[in-house]
Amino acid sequence: MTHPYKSAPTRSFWTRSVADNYIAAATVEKVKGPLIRKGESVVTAGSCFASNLVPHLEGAGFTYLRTEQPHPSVRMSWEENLGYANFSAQYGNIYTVRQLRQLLHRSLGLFVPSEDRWHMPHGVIDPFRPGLRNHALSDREFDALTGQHLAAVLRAFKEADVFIFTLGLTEAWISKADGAVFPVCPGTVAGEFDADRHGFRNFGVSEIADDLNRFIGELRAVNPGIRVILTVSPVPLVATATNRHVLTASTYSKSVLRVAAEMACGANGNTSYFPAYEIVTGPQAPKDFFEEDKRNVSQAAVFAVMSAFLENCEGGEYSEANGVASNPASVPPSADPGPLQSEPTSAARMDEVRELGEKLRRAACDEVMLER
Amino acid sequence: MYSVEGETGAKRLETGWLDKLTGLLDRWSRWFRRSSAKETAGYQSQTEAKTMKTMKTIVIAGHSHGVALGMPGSSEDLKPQLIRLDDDGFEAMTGGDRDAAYWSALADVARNKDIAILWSGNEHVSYHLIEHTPKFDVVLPHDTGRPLDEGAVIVPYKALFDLYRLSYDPLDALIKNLQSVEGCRVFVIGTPPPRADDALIQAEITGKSELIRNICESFQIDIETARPAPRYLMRKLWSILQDASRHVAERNGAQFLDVPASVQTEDGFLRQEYTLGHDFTHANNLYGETMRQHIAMRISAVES
Repeated sequence: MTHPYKSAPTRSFWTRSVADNYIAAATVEKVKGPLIRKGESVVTAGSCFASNLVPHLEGAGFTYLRTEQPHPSVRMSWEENLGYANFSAQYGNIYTVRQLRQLLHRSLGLFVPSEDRWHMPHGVIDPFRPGLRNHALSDREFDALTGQHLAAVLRAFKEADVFIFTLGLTEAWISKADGAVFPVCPGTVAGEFDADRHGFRNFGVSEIADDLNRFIGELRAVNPGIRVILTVSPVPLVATATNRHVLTASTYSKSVLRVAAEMACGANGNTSYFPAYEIVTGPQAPKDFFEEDKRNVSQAAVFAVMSAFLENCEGGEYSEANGVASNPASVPPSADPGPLQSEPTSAARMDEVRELGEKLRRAACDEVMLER
Repeated sequence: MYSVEGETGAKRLETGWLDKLTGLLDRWSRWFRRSSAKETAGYQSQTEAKTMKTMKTIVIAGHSHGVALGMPGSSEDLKPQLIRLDDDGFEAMTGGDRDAAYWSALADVARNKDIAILWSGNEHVSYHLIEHTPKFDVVLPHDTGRPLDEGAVIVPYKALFDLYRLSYDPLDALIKNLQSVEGCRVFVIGTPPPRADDALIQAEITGKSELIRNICESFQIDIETARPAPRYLMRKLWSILQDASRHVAERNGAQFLDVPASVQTEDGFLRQEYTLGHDFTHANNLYGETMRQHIAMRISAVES
């Protein structure tokens, strides 16, 4: 007697590919070729987790496109807050697809939010980058800096070969005037909350899938060849504005994002899903993939995700013997690097990558301010 | 001007590097000051009589910009000591390096005196004398006039302010220590604006002086193609430096006495008659005399 499962590959069976012989890299769909090819420019955006990718990508020799860097004249000054400088342009964390789409629109001059600045005693604050250390002090400076920022954003969108977006949240705070989505609730990181002007939205699956489809289409209008990789952040919500328990709200949110990502991958060519969420949160994941707060992912989890990711990029050769990629950046922190020890440059770079990764992992993201 | 929020970023100031450049500037200034002493000596006697009487003795102390005000420059051979400058109530703290011994000696003589500190003041030169690539511009908080440099990267005012402020942070402890001395008041004095022309800097670049080589090396600027930062930018950066100095003074309850308009051109540069020979950052003794009158007048106004 035969049936479809008879000819299914090993990865189709839980007992053979999860309970036993689990290989994180094998969870990635391979039908679409390598996720990133050598020499391609990569741009990332999304929740805090998206910034974790950056040092690993760069450590592995991939080109992370940076269109907005601190000017060399102030390189000896203070680093930017909250990882703004970690992304291709200093847009900081983008938790929702609607905010991402609005950012593209703003960079194209198609959308000018009515509440585009907050005048605070200490300066003029960008509601879409409320934690920025080097904020403007006057309207004139705000206009100059914001114009420059949006030009850098557009350049990143236009020049990238690969765009990686980590979907983080379904819940958002918006301007009631025009639907502009703030990264965090006004009044938490900066600004003042005003119930007459600010409203809560919990985006549904069809809205998010629609936003994703539209975003990818609009992105390709300015950069036709760009490939898109979608991931879902494994980091649960800090807090929910729904009346639900934060655990159920978080599960709902991640489920919606996961489905929307799948729908977008199905509806758009050259768009893939990378299962960071599953690698970190699946029942196969070791207990130490989360910190003691059971929210923040550990360094070990980041390395597991990046090992799997880099294994699926050009030049990342998977080694079944030790379960990690031979790429220097993909060696977990506790692993003996073996032959790599004879390559001081690689080892030093690996240390640097670890250090950067650790720093990023510890860096507070603005969503955390909801709790403070 | 605005509150400085929590320092969540990592401080990356390489103080050793800045100290080295500051030392070079001081050494260079001493050389020029010696060579140009004669050209400004005549002005001193004309202006001395105009200095206003003040209730307390005013002690000039601090770094190289105090030399124009009559404070002898630092010398390795000198021990910190208080010297009298004139009959109008000005004294100066002289001595070797501006180290803990110098500031401690100043606190020892500060009882019932007004201390006028000239702190640092060359950061805009050390960091930004040579044009960076890409070129940059900055929007000053109250500047609505001059168009920004087309094609220049706009560097946030706050990033430059915070960079300069790092050099002023040690003033916190110094001011607090002096204010703990009975009857002592502390005034932080503004430093001279930049000169209007950049011919001297261009000559330094052409000559590839040690200072220029150090700046180029630190900022990875090709010395062969190096050129002076635009004058309008240096004027802006100087004003940010004054803001940083004022901020640190005022957060410690000290008063900041800025440079009067009378020593500046219409565009805010140092007037020609106050320039010091070939020194492109320090001012001459005539400037110092004017500043002493200004300081005396301002302190007198505080008293009334």
